[in-house]
Amino acid sequence: MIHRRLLQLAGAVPGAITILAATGIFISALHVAFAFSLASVIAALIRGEGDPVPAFVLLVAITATRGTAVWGRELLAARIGATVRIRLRRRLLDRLAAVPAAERDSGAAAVTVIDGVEGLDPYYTRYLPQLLVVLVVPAGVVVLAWHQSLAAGIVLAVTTAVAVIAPRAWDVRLLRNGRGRWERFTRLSSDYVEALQQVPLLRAFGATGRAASRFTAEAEGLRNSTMAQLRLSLVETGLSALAMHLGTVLAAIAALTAVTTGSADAASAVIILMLARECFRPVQDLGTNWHAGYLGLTAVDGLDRLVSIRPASNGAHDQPADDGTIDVADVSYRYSGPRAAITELSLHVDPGETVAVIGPSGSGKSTLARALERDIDPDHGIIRIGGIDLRDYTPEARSRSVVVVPQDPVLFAWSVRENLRLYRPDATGAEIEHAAHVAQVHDVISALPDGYDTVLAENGEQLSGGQRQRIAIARALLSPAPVLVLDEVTSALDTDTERHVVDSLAANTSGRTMILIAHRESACAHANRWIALQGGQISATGTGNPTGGFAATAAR
Amino acid sequence: MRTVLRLLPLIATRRGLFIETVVWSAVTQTAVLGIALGLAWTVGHIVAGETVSLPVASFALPGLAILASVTAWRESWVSHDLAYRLIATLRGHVFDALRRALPSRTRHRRTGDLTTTVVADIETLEWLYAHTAAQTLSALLVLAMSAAVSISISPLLLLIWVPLLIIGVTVPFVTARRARRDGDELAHGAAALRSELLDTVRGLRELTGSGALDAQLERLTDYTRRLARAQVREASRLGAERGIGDIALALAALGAILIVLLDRATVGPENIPLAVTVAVAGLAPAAQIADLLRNASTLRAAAERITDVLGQPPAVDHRPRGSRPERLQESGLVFDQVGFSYDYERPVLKGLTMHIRPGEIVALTGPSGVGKTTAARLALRMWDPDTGSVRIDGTEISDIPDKELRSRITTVPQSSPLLRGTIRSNITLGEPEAAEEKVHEAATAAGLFDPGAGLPGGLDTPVGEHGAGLSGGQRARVAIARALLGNPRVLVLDEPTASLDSQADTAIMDFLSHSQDCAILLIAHRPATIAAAHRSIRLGS
Repeated sequence: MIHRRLLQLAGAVPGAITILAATGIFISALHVAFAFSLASVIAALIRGEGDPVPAFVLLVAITATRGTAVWGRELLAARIGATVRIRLRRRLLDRLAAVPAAERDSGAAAVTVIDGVEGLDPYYTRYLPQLLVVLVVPAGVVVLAWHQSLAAGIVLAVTTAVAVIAPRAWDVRLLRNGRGRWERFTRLSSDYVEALQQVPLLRAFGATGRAASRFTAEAEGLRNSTMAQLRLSLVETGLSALAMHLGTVLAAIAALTAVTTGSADAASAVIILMLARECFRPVQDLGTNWHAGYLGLTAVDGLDRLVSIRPASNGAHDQPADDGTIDVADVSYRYSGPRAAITELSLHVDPGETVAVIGPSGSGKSTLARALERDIDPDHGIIRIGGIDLRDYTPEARSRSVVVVPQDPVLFAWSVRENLRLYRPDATGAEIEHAAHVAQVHDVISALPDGYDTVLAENGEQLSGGQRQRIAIARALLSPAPVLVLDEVTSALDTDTERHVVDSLAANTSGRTMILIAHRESACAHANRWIALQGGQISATGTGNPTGGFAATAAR
Repeated sequence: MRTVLRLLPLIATRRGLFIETVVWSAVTQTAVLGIALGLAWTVGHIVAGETVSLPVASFALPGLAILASVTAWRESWVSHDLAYRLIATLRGHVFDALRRALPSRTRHRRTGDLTTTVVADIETLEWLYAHTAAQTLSALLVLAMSAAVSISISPLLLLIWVPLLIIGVTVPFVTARRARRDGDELAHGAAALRSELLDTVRGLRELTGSGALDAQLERLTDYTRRLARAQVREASRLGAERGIGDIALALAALGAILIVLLDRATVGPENIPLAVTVAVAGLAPAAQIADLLRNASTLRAAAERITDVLGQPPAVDHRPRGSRPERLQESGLVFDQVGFSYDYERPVLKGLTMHIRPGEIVALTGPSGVGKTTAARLALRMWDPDTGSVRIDGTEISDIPDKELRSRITTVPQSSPLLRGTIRSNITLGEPEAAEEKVHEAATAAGLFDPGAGLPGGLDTPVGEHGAGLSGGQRARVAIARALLGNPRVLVLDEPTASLDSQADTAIMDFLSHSQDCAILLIAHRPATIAAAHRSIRLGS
């Protein structure tokens, strides 16, 4: 089955497929030549006429050539497959960032990008080339057989046609079922990912047993779906095999009948006997390759979904902001559903100012932070940093203009040093240590087994919440961006540590614009002024640190 | 190969299906061999000028052809049924092992790595269960039958198998080390790629925000490249082996011809096609098995990773031990001289003793990294302490059946992790059948319905991966509701209100302090939160 979408996905592969098909045809031709010569030798031996030696030498030569060609084809297919995989995976990866945050599903993405692409390889490198081989080789063999015995030729033509065409009747249904199976496979994998990441939580609530039974049911569902799939595809295989066996037997009998009635040369029976097998070999290989390749075919939905996502367009302004002016003009954003996160919010912050943003949870503070780093685009209104619309920056320039440390920062399973270099890949050892000192985390890092070179566990699991937050602060401090947004980054710190961090941040970020999102006064002791959010709008403002603000919002 | 063999006994759980597979496989292979030999015999005799009853052959051989197709279909059905049942069972075993072994005290294996095992590694076993085990037995049978036929024609024919057997044995032997390296590299490469990809999706915001996404995608592409290089290297080896296999089969035919040439006396002309066919056809199933075994390195690497997971020790020992005396007078949560270390060397907790009585809130304070969360995890029996004991209402928690323990103690873990689903499904995590009013009660207590919570969607608000879609404060409220649902005897709160505003914090602490019979262990930093506790214990000084 030729899937137009998949051909588009892989990009320019027709050339590669043609080369592989040509190799396949060459190998098939060698098989046919071998069968033909072998038959001649056998016929000569039976009838004791002619010299079998030249044909024998030819057979040896064919054998050596064929062995080499088989090896070459594998190598070629692997190389082409590697190219397809690298290219396709890269295309998919490029779209990952465009998936809206609420719909992100790391397990499912991994299945699509890893298993889906892996499964597609045989479709391009095995199935499609073999399809071309099947179009050419059996026809050629039938013509050869026809020359030996008309009846045998007809038998072979009919049975090969059945073997090739009959299974195609189910292909569409097979593909439809297969997509369902792939959905299940994706869901199961993504559920495993979540459960394995959250085993402590599940155990704490005695829910691992239930999770296990759910997985048993899901795995059972996957098995049923796989078997439903096989029920069809094995019938296909069976029909093909039946056509092959019957074709071989009947062709040989037809040839023998011709021999006994004297209408054909005796040697022709031997030739038909040997050739019949070659007529079906490509068909059988096509069946095998279809089974290898259809797995990838069924992954097409996930691949297509990812590829069709339109990434947000970026501007061409490739210089980072000159200064830390922030202009939020009339910005509204609504998550899917009834909830408006921020409504017609306007805010101006001068360079070097430190502004505290306070308000109850759900009042839109974190949404504002997301919008400031363009993790989301406002439905309405404009955000400017350094006087330039955020959307006009190149991603590179934007990341050097504004940095947001989110509430739950993610650390990567790299060394601490690499983690700290996230915002500035060329930071020197001294710069890194300085940032760690400012964030009050240098001692923590030094106490790790390999210091700054300790490789963190997934999301820094060996660290406490407070330690993770401070590493995230240090990481952001290394960024040269003039605007720094800290979203409750000291929430997991004890009071003393928090005061140290806040003081040293204030002392080391002069000149930068800071937005401090916080629940508590302690986090924004050095703020020049504050704004309070309520229901996605500014409800109060004031100067100095927001002690009065907290009192005011608490009084509401 | 030994690791692979360790996964074979699983077949015994489906003995019936396995035997059926062997039977159908044997019948199929015999029928296919019968067709090949029957045709060769008939052709040979007719071409040699003898009279053969064609009508008999015309009935017998198509009959065999139909039989072979039907049994082949049946065999593949049964063998796949067997394989996928075993795979589903094995998935269950692997997840069971993991849910008992995690969280690991020392070995932090990445989720992508573990998922690769439970998803992809297990899937590769399909070869072993569906295409290799039973088929090896029937290949041996066919080999024996072919040997018998060969001997009946000319014992010399057996000679051609000698070089082939040598090839069959030496080639895998020579390439074994390389195959092993390739297999390991492929399995680990795939796991590393998945781990890194999961991290990438989780940290997309950071990566995009820092402009490091391109570099990270390049890193992932590098993984793919490295993996692809290993695959090409493996394909080169596989291709060479396959080429040699192809040559070996051709040589079998040529060898038969050679023997006919050398031994014209014993092999009659009418038997020449038969001699050639039996040489090739007898080897075909063995060649097929060899082809499958070429992938043994991948299979072995996968099997090793699976058995490694299966062999991980459980985080706590659930075997009943001699029941220790219950302290009937004691109530609430007790840590009695508790010592614990992650690496069995550097202790994190040393002789921690504390007693939290019902109705009491005790704050556990101290600088970050001092072992507060570890203490919370011991109270929840994520691990057992190295020394000392943890008791609830006078009973060692290791003596309380797990189900019972989980109803007595609940928790709000650090940073309030949530699962995909809805707010409701998260609250009812420990008790999916909880009555609606109970859920409402817990949600109300946690302030989920407060107008300030910003959740007009209520309990049906969708929750994305890692709690996506909810703010930190909203997640905290859901986590608190989840902990309150079961009316626990002991509640362990690990910085539950860190991301709540002081108003919500006060409201929740107020609610908790009115609980009469629940002992509350509170890990906190905030003076305001600590002030809500009846007393506090400082760790690490």
